[in-house]
Amino acid sequence: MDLNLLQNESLEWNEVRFVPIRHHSPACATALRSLLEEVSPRAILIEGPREFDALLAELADDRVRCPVAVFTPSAGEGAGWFFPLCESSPEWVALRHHREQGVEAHFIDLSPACRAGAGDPPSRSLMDESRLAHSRWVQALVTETGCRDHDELWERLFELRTLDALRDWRGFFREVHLWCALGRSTWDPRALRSDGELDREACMVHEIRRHRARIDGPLVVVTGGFHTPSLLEQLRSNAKPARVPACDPGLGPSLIRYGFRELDALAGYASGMPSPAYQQGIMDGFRRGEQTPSRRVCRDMLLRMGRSLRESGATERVGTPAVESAVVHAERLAALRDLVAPGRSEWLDSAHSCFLKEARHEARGAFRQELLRMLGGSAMGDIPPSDSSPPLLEDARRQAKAARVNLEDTTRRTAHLDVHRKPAHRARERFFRLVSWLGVPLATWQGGPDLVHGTGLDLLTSQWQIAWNPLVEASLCELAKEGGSLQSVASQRLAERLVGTEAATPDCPDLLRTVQTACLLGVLDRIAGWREQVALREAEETSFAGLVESCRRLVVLRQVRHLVDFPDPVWLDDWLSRFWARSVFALDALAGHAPQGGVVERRQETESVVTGLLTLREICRESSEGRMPLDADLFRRGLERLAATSNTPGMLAGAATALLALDGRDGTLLERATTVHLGVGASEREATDFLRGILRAAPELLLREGKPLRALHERIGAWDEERFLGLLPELRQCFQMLDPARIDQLADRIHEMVPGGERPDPFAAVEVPSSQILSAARLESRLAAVLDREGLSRWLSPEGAE
Amino acid sequence: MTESAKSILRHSAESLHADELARLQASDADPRPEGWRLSPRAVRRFLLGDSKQGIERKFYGDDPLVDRCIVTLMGNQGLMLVGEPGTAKSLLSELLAAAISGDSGLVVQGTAGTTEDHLRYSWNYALLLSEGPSNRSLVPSPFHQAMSGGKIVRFEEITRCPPEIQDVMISLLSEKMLLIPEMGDGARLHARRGFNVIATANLRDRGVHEMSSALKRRFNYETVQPIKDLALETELVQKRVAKELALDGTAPAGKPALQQDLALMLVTVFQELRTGRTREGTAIKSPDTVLSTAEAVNVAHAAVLESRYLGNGTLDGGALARQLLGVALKGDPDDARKLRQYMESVVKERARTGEPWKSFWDASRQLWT
Repeated sequence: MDLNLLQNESLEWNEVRFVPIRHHSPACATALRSLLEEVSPRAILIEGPREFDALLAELADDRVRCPVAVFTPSAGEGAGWFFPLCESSPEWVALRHHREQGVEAHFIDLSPACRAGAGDPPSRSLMDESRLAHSRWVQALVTETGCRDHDELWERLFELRTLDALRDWRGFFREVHLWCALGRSTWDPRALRSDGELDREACMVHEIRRHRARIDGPLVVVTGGFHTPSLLEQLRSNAKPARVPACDPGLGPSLIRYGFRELDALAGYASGMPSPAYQQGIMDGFRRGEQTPSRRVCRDMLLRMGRSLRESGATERVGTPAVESAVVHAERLAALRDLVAPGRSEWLDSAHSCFLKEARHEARGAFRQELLRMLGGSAMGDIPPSDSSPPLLEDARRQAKAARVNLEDTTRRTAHLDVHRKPAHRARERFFRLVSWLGVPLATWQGGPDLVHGTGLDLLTSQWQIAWNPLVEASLCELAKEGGSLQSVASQRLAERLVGTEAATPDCPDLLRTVQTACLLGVLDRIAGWREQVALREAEETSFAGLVESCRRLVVLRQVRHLVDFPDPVWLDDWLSRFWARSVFALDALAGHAPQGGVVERRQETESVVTGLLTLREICRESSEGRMPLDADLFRRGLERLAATSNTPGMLAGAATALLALDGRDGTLLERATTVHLGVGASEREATDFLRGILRAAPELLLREGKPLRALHERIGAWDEERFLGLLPELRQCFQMLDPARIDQLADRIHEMVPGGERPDPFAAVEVPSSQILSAARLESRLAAVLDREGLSRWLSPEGAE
Repeated sequence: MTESAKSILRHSAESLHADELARLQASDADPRPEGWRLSPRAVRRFLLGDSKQGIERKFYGDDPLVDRCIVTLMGNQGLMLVGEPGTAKSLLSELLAAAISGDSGLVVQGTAGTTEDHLRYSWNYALLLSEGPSNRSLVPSPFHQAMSGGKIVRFEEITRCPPEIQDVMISLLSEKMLLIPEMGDGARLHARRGFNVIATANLRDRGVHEMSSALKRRFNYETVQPIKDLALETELVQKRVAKELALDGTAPAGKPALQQDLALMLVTVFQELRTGRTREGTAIKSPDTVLSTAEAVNVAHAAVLESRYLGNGTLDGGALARQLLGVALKGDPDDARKLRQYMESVVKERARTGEPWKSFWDASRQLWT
């Protein structure tokens, strides 16, 4: 590459002036302003997807406050793309010029949906500049100059110039062009093609030619400097223009509010310059006519940082002398580095040198956070409501404002809501729950009463982490495809979820789950219809599990109704009574019903029935404490019938017996049942099933009551060894339901029943000397060799042993 | 260098680089702070090198750190260099003192036995008894000399001094003045321009004597990090070993003392053990012992000498392994276990790729068993 040629290369073709920029660079933006004032183009062509032309009027609105972004939703599963703009974006300067001077402006880039690899975007920003930063040439220059990274080198070379130097836009952009051309020269064109960069450039060339043919007079093309060399080369060449890929750009773009935090290249979005709050300060200074605004910005930021550290106590006390010395430090560093004024790197250096009194990598979180806050900022932009703005976005913003969400700042905050006492807090929580359920990353539940499962309801406050940021707006833009308000989208989704259930028609638990969710979200427009469906389906619901699940959902809803301002508890009580009665009556059917299928299926079915029993007992307990209008006696009688019926499966009988014994009305019940199920004549399988039922329902009973344990002990003692070993896995599973402390207590009890002798210590380690293990292993391998030699190795396999 | 100078075991930086300093001084057209022998830019060139003037780079890995150190020394604050042992803190302070004051020999070594006399002054008692307190009978400390001469004084391992000795520094640094009451009411020594302090503190020694916040406030802190760039550290180790051998007069003719593949292997081992991560990204256990660039140079230097005087003259991975174990194992059984684990999991695997890992593994295996 001929450097002299490159240095003197004209950035003009056919009265089209090319402006190579770095996105969000205050220096580029300032130089571009001078260029536009001098050149007075008839039209400005900007690197940005062509369909953004539809948003030009909206972008030109006076009330738009940066940072904002054009968001393009993805047609597929992936996230969409952002095209961020801030005051220091050259593109923004071009758009302002378009508005103020009434010149045409157009976007000329390929739609992101049409680019290669669009299904899996490596970066969600359409202003990705990582190619230049990672260019071998730039990296070599970084090493040579002793800079820390590409950003520091760029700042030294281009940003730290006086306003007068930037007004010499010809010289400035020629140098930027040189930088970018050399940066691009180390990239393999094949990599650029496979990433779709060449397709984009073909599209830009096509658009530039089209506008050139259409408009007379000077045109200005504002693109990332990485593309300028290729655009110029293609336009000047006589070769046949490259084909522009045709495709459907998909969903339309929307203008959304953007935040400094997301704009920060350091935050991982890889677009443009780092530290947007700092760059904003520089841009403001240039606009006010300051020659070296970075000097003032650095001084102000050091003063604010010192004050802030003093107040937060994050580091050793930072006094006024330290701040003064930091300002001088930054100035001296700039002088040593031959810069016109201290810049961002000098600011960082002096803040670390003068404020931090410990090793750099040990800097406490508060110090680092303060640095990032100073440089990055957390402000959000604003856009006025408009016809093209999705109604759902406006609806969400209105509701968020009502829920006291700060829409101006992207900092994450925790809201403590007094949901028991304050209706306004309940309304806020309802909104947070709604957006969270819709998958909008605005609110995350941290703790407090769990209204879905009905736990922790006595906790006083509910905590939510809240942050309104561009991802929230982007997510809302994507939701806007589904409806005009959050409530309508939620209602639609709930209805779709019912249709999408596996069964042909939704059953009662499905319907009640939908009703419960709708109540929690405050989406009540379809609830009457769902209630009617429940009434219709109720009679068809005959399964014990389905009835208990319905009951449970109604109980939870009833428990939390005051926390969600549920409007109509009358039908709720009515339904609860009905489902309760039907659940209890379903117990009778279980008594004579033997589970079907293999061992595992039978056990699983019985397990689920026992779980249902325990749920009913829990509801019953709530009821007996006066919280539910339910007939507890009904349940007890049902249990009695279940326990007394001779062909009830053992585990169910055990559980029913245990639950009745817990009530304590019949003191001899457990003893009697134990005699029946564990006594002489009972099968071993039946005995272990019964035991499993007791332990599952009320494990403490076995410890509390001596007689069942004695019966069990005697029963097991009567088994011969083979039978005992056969049932050992079952027994082991049963006793696993006890925690280790209870198992220990149980062992003590059993030991007391055995006369004489000490209870062996379960924790005593059995020591086998390693030599013994080794000799056993040797013997085994010799034996295996002998068997193998005799052709009898199959004896060693489990099948062979049988 | 004269014959007598050649016999000196270790030269000071200003003597070793006298030629470069003289050239820099002669061509230095930039403004100089009062009391400085070179301008800040020339000091920077002295440390970071300048190919146009034939100035060799002496400090590697962090150019902005050097800028910050120079700027700190131009102000009223002292410079505190903190970092892991062996990260060239002392080298940096020596080079800075040599370039700024032309004298890197004003050093106080912080120890548990450092007394106030080491920081202020003491007396020649024979003269004191015969003549009374006078300039002749006063024995100036390095601080005293630096203040009166407007020079940089170096305070090594400051956190090893007892707190009451550290506190003496507070008044010296804030008042920039030393009272000598024995010589009358008005006897005081005001520091001349150019005076400043470079202190070093070792992060491993933290807690021996934590510095008071009053003293911390009088210093700007700079952290010296180990070199992270593998190629840079390899190049540095090779250069340093060649220099050590040249000083010994044992440098081989015509070929590098430490060949590229051996240097790369040694630095890879040091970096992996230091960071607790292999070059493939696998986490490994990092020993507590210091594994700095300086230690790598020591290992390589000793291995070269071993092969020269005790072996067949050809350096291989085996000699490096033997020396490495001597450096890395300092009696901590935990460290021995971690190192062995590294050898058996990482080095053994790489030994399959051939030399120099193979001889390195073979030698280390013999040492373990």
